Amino acid sequence: MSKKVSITVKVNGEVFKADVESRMLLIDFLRDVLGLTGTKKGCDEGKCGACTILFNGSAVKSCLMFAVQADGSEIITIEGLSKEGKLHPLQEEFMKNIAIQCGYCTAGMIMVAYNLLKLYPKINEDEIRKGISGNLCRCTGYVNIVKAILSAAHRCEK
Amino acid sequence: MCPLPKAFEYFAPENINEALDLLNRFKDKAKILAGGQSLIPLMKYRLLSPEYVIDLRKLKDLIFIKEKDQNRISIGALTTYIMIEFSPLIEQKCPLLKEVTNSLSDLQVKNRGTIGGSICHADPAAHYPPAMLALNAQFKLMSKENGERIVNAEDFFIDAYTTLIKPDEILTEIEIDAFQNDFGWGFEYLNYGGAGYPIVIAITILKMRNDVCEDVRIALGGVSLTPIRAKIIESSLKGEKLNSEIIDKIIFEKMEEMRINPPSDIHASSEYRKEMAKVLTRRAIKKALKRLKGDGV
Repeated sequence: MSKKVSITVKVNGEVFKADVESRMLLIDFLRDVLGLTGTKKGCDEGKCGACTILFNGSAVKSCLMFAVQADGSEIITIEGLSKEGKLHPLQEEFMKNIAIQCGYCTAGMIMVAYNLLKLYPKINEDEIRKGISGNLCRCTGYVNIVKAILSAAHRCEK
Repeated sequence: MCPLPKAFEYFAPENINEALDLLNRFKDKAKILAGGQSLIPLMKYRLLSPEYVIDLRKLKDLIFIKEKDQNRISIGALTTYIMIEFSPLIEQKCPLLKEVTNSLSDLQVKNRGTIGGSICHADPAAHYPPAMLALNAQFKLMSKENGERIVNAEDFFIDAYTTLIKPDEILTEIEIDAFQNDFGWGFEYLNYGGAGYPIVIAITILKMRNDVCEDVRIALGGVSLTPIRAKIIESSLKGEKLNSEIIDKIIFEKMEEMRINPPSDIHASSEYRKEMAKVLTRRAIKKALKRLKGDGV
C-alpha cells in the first residue's frame, strides 16, 4: 500500500490541506474530497476535456494529474470563476448563446476558453476551434459554443 | 472509466542530484514523471505500474530556452510545449519547431507536456522525435554513477517507445540547430482528426545555391517504429537542380529503395502510410523551396 502524502493546495482562493494517496487523481480530489462537483469526469483518459481546470493559471485536464502534483499550487475550478455572485463574461455568454445542451462539457469548455482568451487577446473563430480541440461536446453543439467564446472575447477586449 | 493506477510511492526531489540519487536507488522499478500526459494514461490503463514515481516538478532549472551559440539552441527537458510555441527565440531562430509544436495535441496537453517527456516516451507517431532528427538534436543524459553523456538523436530512438536511455539516467537538456536565413524548411503531416497523433509526418530542411540543392535533411515519423532520416533521398537530391519534376521523380523512386515497412493499424494500412510518406515528403520539400524563394507558403 502506498504511503499517504500531505498536500497543501489553494483552490478557488481557499487553502486546503489534506493527506492523499499518491495515486489519487486530481479530479477525484476536487470532486470527492473537496466536494467541487462542477468539474466533470468524462472519458477519464485525457481525451474529452470535461475535467479541465486552471492549474497555476493554465488549463489542464485534471484526470491526467495526480493530486500530489498539485502540492503548493493554485487551482481554479468552474465554481471559482464567478466573483461576488456575478458570473464571468464567459458564463454569461454561454447562457446568452445557448451554448449548452446536456451541459456535461460546459465546465471544461469554459475553463479552456478562459485560458484561450488569456493567450490570444484578439482571438478569432479558427483559433477558438483549434483551441477547444481537446474538449468534446457529445451533443455536437459546437457552433454556439464557438459563438459564446467569441462574444466573450469581444466583451473582454473592451 | 479507467481503473486507478496501481499504488506507488511518490517522490518530488528538490534538485537534480536528489532525483538522480533516487533513480539510482530504484532503477527500473521507478518512473520519471515530467508532464505526465503519456505516463499517467499508461499507468491508468495499467500498461505501466512503477513501484516508485519520481516527479521532477520542483526542478525549475530544467525549464529554459536559450541560445547556446549562433548555430545552436538549448532547451531544458522540462520546458513545456506551450513555452516552446510562445518563445520569441524559437519563433526567430527555429520557426520549424514552433510550427511543429503548434500542430500537436491540444492546449491542455501543451500546458503540461514537456519536450523531454515526449522524447523519452518515443511514441512512433509523435511529432518531436522526427523533428529532433531533422534538427540534428543532441540529448544530455545524466546519471549518478556516470555523470553526463551526450547522445545524438539519430542514435537515441531504437524501437517503438524504446530509447537507449538507461534505467538510472535522466534526460536534462536538448540541443538543436538554430536556423540561418539561407535554410528553407517544410513540415507536413496527415492527421485522422482533432488532436490525435498523426499518421505520417515529413520534415525537411533545405539549403540551395543557385537553384542547386547544396544540403538537405529529411526526417519521417509514423512510417517505422522509430523516426528515420531519409538519407537515400537526401543524397540523391544533393547536387540536383531542383524543380517540381525532379523532386517528384527522386522521391518516388528513392522512397521505394528505402524499403520502409510501416506498421498497419486501425488508422492507416502500411501501404497507405508508404504512399503518404511520398506525398508529404514531396510537399515538404516544395514548401522549403518556396520559403527560400520568399514566395510565401
